[in-house]
Amino acid sequence: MVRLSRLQRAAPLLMAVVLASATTACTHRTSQGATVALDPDQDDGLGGTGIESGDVRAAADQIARALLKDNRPTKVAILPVENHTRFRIDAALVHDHLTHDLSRHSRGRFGVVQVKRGQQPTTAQAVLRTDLRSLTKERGDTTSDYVTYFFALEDPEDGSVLWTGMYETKRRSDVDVVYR
Amino acid sequence: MTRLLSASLLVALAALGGGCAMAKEARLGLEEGVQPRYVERITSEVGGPVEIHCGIGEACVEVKVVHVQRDLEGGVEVTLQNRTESAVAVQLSLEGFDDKRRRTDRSGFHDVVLAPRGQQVLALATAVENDDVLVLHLRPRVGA
Repeated sequence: MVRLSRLQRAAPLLMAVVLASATTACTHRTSQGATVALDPDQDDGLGGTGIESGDVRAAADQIARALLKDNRPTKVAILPVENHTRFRIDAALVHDHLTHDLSRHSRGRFGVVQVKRGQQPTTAQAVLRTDLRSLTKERGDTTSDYVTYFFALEDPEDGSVLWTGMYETKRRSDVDVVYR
Repeated sequence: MTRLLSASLLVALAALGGGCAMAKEARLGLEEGVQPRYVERITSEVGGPVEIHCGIGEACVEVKVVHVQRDLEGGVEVTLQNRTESAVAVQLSLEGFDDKRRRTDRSGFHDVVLAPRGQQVLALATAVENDDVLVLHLRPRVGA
């Protein structure tokens, strides 16, 4: 009977370990762990029918671009956003994105004045008012929400409307989510 | 037995080093062959050329860019057509590049929802100059 050396006896196990390591090394290096970083323009997959990060970004981007294209350079005061929807979100998200996108796209042509709640814009030649509103329908577990983002550029002297913009979404889902 | 062990060690080392990258390159190349990237070049009546880029080519087969209209002030209107018999949702982003391939503008992704066999227009004001190359990025809107 041939006696096996210690190395020969351990060889099958060693080979298995080495090949398993090689296979593991060839999995996706760029895949993510338990916490997944998401593109804020993409849906998070949690469901719900309300305001998404992509809506905040798209609405601000679209409206800032349209406002700059359609109006002569001026000093705009951005009023605090009024959120009348059933979704409990920090409306300053929309306000901050609008301020950022207006500043970024105008490249200094438009002056942007931030107005805090309760303050009156004193130096602006126009004020931008933003209202978020929603229409909700439910049947059983299914909910649909129509959400509008209304933007109005107004003359601070007499309140006349100089320009308007609208962004809207409508979504239906069987998955209800909680906004915190 | 010692030789076999040495050989498997060599294979593993190759896989851990350059071999794995090569194997992955081949596999991803094959996957891209089955599901190719989609790039289409079209011309609009006003302005420079327009390129349509699709990471997932299938999305650009289901939803076609049927018309791109540019105006002299940077305004862009993209008309999309749903070729399927289901309602679909895609996301569209715009980029502009000058003749030195420097980016002149980049928008975020905007949702476009299309009824079955329907058309929808996305209008966006841009800082893209008239002669710049306009690049449209189209991707499916992945939802829950």
